[in-house]
Amino acid sequence: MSKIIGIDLGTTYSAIAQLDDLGTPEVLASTDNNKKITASSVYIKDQNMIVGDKALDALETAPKQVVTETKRQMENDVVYSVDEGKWVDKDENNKEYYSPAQISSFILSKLKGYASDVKKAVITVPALFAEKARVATLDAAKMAGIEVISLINEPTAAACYYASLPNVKKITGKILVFDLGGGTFDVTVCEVQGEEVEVITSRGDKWLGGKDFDKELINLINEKYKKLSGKELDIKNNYSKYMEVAEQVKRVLSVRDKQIETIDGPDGAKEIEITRAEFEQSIQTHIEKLKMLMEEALDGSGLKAENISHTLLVGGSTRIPIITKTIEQVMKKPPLKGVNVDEAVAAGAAIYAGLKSKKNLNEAQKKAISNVKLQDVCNFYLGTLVQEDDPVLNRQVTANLILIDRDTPLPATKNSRLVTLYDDQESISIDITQSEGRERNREFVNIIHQGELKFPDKKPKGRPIDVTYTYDTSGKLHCVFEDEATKEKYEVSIRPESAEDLRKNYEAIEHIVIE
Amino acid sequence: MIKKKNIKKDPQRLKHKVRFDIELFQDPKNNEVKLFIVFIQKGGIADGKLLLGDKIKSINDIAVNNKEIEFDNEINKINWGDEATFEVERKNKIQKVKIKTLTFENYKKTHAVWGIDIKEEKKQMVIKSYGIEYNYNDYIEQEDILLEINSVKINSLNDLNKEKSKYKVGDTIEFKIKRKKISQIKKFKIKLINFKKAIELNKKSCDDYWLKKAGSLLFKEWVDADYGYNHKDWIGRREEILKLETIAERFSDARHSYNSDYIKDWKNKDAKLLTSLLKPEYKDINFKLNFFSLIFNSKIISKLSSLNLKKECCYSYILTGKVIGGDWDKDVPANIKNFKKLISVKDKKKELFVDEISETSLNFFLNEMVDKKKNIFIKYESDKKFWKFSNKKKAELSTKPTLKNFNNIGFEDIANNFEHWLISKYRFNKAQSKLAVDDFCKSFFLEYPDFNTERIKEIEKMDLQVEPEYDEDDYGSDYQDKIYISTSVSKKKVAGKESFVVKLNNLPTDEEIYDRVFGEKKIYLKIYIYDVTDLDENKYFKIQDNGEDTGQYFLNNCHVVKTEDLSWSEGNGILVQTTELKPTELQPTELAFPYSKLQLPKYGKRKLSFRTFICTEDQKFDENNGRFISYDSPTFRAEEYFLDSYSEGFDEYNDYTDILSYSSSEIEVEYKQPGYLEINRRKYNDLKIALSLALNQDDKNNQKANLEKIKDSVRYGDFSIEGNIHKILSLKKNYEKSLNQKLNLDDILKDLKKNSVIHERYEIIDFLLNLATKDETFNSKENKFIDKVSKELELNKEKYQEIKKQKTSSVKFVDFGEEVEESVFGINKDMTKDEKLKILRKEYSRWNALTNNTDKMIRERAKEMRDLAANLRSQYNK
Repeated sequence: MSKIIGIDLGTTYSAIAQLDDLGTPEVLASTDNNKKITASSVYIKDQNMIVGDKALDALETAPKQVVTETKRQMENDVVYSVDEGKWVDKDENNKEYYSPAQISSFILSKLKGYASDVKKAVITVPALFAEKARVATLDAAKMAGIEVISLINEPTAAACYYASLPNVKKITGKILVFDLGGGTFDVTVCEVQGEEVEVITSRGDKWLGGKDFDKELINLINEKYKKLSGKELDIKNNYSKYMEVAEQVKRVLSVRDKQIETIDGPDGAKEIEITRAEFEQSIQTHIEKLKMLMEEALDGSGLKAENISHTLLVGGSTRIPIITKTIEQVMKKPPLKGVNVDEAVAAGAAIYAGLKSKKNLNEAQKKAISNVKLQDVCNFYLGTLVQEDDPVLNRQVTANLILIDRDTPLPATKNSRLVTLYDDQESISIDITQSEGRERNREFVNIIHQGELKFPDKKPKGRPIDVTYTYDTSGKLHCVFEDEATKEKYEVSIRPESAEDLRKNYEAIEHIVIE
Repeated sequence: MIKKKNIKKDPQRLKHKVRFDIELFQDPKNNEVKLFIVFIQKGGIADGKLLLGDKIKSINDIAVNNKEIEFDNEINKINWGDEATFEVERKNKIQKVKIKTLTFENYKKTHAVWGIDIKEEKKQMVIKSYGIEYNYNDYIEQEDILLEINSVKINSLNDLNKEKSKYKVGDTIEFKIKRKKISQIKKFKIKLINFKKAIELNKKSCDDYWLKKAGSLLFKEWVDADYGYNHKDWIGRREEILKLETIAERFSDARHSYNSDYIKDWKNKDAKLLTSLLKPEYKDINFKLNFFSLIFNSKIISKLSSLNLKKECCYSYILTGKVIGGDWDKDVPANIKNFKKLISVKDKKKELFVDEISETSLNFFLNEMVDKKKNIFIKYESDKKFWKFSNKKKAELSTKPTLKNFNNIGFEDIANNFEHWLISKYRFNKAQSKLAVDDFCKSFFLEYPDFNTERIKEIEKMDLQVEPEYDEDDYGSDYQDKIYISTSVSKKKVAGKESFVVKLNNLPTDEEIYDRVFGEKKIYLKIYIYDVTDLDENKYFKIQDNGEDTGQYFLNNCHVVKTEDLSWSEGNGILVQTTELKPTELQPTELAFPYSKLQLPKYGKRKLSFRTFICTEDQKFDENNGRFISYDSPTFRAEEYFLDSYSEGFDEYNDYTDILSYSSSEIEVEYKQPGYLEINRRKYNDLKIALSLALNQDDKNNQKANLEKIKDSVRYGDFSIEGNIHKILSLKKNYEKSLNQKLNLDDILKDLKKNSVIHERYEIIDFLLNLATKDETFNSKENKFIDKVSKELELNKEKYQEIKKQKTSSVKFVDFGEEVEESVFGINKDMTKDEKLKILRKEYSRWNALTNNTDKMIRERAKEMRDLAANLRSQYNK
């Protein structure tokens, strides 16, 4: 029988987990180095794709061929150009290039190899991952020969894992999951009762993670080098190298107050001292973002810090002392420690995978997760653009009409009735929107789909159009715009099976060997 | 000890009870009030003297142990201006606290009014009511749950009082509430007003209240009750008053409809309410009694007897219809002519002398006699002028009331007989008699004028149209086809928008619509609005008498209200509410016109007439002035209908067969912008061009380029040759001025205020922002300039900031320096740190969301703005 696994496809590191025979989630170790986390880096070496730590090793010798932080590009129309050694806009002139979904498929293929007979999986994504990025993740899985039975938000997976722990009674109540990874940050407030997890709200920034701290460190190192030598480091051409140094310094500063690092630059090697205080000062803007998102999550859930019983840490970047200090400052109590922050998401995904496919489990596994229940929420406001009166401007303006509120428990279905504006109107244009705030302005919403509903006949203004949005537990949005009179409808599921021309991609990777 | 002060110094000191602006603990279980202080008004006279948790032991050395008697008793002894000594138990120690009461005026200034009533229910703080005058209805609904005040969680009444004690007049309060049914969390802010302002708002609210008389009485009694000092009593009275007009209408209606809503059958609570709303002199009349008991009530005798302008007095006439031998159509029998005073009543067993018994006993005696269908005998005194015997001669009258009139109900008979008298003796038509008796009935109520002979004379002179009687059995009657709608108009907030609401009564029934629709035509309800302020009946008839063109008079003096909104307009921008009336479909009972949709012809105080038509699809209305058109009777002067309301007698000769019914209602309004007849669009365009050239007047190097941008932007709008010439001349004139730096911003703005309506002012801001960001940049100078324009044109700050954010969301900011936060995020120096942090968080969140946008340019911009917001916040947080 094929296994169903949970995969944490991270910006810097990824992990894969499955339920063991007793139903306990088990994070699988790499077949290369026996580590349970695998660097999300790919070294493109001819037709061979070397994934993981070995790829990082190649940064020194072949930096242009090593692809990192792919997750951050999942929503973009870019490709990785091996010639240029960076992500570039899609262009037919690119000789050798790979889409973010393709690179991710190499990572997924590698992870898949840690377990035997894997065909189906639950993959985790940041709570506020763009729709396009979610689709690209599904494409990546498909290319890697994995059938995704569901995408699950990373903090939700982590909460699911915590709730399933044997000593879970300790963390019953309202908890805040603080998930700071290499590239993304998510904060989720949920209610845990026994093994039932009910998500209340999530906030996040998918451009905020350990890598951003590394970048600030590079800037700091550069400043200091310049002060010593009068010359600046050539960061642009040695980006990967300096990022590696920065990560090393960051790790040391997590346990020590200062670090002296020898930095090689245009004026030769210089010894540079960096203190923890300096590092913390350099990332103040990012710390402020973390604070704001925690505050937003508390506000969104209608709770105060005092009402949160525990803060759970997820993600490698939570090891940085200033992070725990900030959490303590906002939440007025220290976060809960003790669980492997790198593995919680993958383990949670494995449990969710078990819940989604109970028929594939043995009796012991079924029993082990039988009490785990999960209630997720919609992470965005979903709506449509309409014309409405602006009494001040005294004219009609385009406004965003919200149909499904953020934090609505899933699955959810909402209806609204709209009407045509003009006599004999031949069609209506459809703009499906997504926003993080309760936005009325079209300028501040993302249009995730556009379409048109044509009418077969002519009618006076005020023709009723029924709009129905349904959002399912895997985050798939189904929208129907139906003309009441003729029953003509425009229907769309926003999570199409594929966003890319996968056939072309399959051909491209047909002969590729994943190492 | 109470120190006496000179009373003359504060005339209000005795008129108003002294308020220490504190609240005592009330046990939610049994409502018992204990002498623990749970609220102290910040800035009030007790602030800083008494403390939360103090237990009051004595007042002015007199021990107080309970609220209702001892505490209230002592407080009542204190006058404004006195100094009072409170003995309190504070942290197990007894302390004496002296409080100077100052003046009632001081209280009015310092007492903060929250305008919201919150009760603790099942451990939740539930909003039970709120004052309509405080504009809470945009934010809250009854039964919403209060979660927080200024981010402090409110779980109990104690929490609420504690929190309330922290705020004084002028403080901003942010409420966080939860909508019970949909679990939606909402936040909104209010600024605490003082009691003085609350009185003003209350007055305005009462004035605007749609039940005018109730509103007026409400305010008067509230003031008289020392601004509702005794809260519980006042709330009860308030409820009564709010029902004033409903009860008064019902009281006067009962006689007309014979719909079995007889006063004698009214429920006791309604009867009690009726009594409470009567003028003091009528309060002891029991209107639930039968006719005979009421007709001999001294107050009613006196009221009716005074109406003796012609022939017999009204009272005698009414009585005539009830006695044996009496006949309305003949003269009043001599034996009851000019009744003056009842002497005695008797049955076969006993005689009761009115002077010796109470009115109540008399009433009950009569009531019993009539109910038992017994004969009664009365002795009365009559007027000497008509009584053939001497003045003091006692006359005796024998009656068998129940034999004479089968519908001997009660007050309804008096009203009906009174109506008959007016028709018979004054030759009133039905409409006049109905109005008169309506007024008579209502004159028993507070706030309604007395009914007297002057009023009868007034009504006699009125040219009221006779309401056709509708006989259900008479299917062949002409009236079968008539639909008599009636309307009223009031000002209300609908869906958060200030609106005029037309209330529709007596709309056609399904059958009536069906009769007309079946195989024939569609039926529409249409409402047009006219500004009738300038119409003068006398002038009109003078013109008519002189044989001049009355049509022109109307064109000049009666203008239709217009709108710019296509979806609300018909013809040439005429504002119309149109609804098709279909059988079996729910008919509208009210139709709203948001203020913002209305374009009035002129500025200032205007009288608007809301004209409602029920018409077939064939009825045409003029495209330019909205008036109904008659093709069959072109000689008929339809304009006359605009002089007055013809709701009842409209089109009695069937000139307009496609208009099935018509009604009009008027209301006054203050229009605060130039009317469409007054707007000089060309002047506005000229000023707009001047303003746009002034925007970059200092930028000498780019003036030519700026002119091109402006030319490009003003290309649209007026396409007429004349219009284009004006544009060219304006561009030339203003460009030359700008070259010499002679465009004066202040002068332009001053002129613009005079020549632009609100939405045009926003149009200008839009225009300037488009111009400023046309090169994908937005610089500090442009920002300051447009900020100033917005301020001077008195635009809503938040709305303006939102428009600016939209327009500048994807352009580059140039030369902003340290002012960037103020310009980009709408932060200003007057804001507190918390307010700044809050705005920045909102902006961070908004831009962070846009990092998901499918447009790469917007994504990049969003990242930049998100980082900017975070960076600024981290600086503020240092």
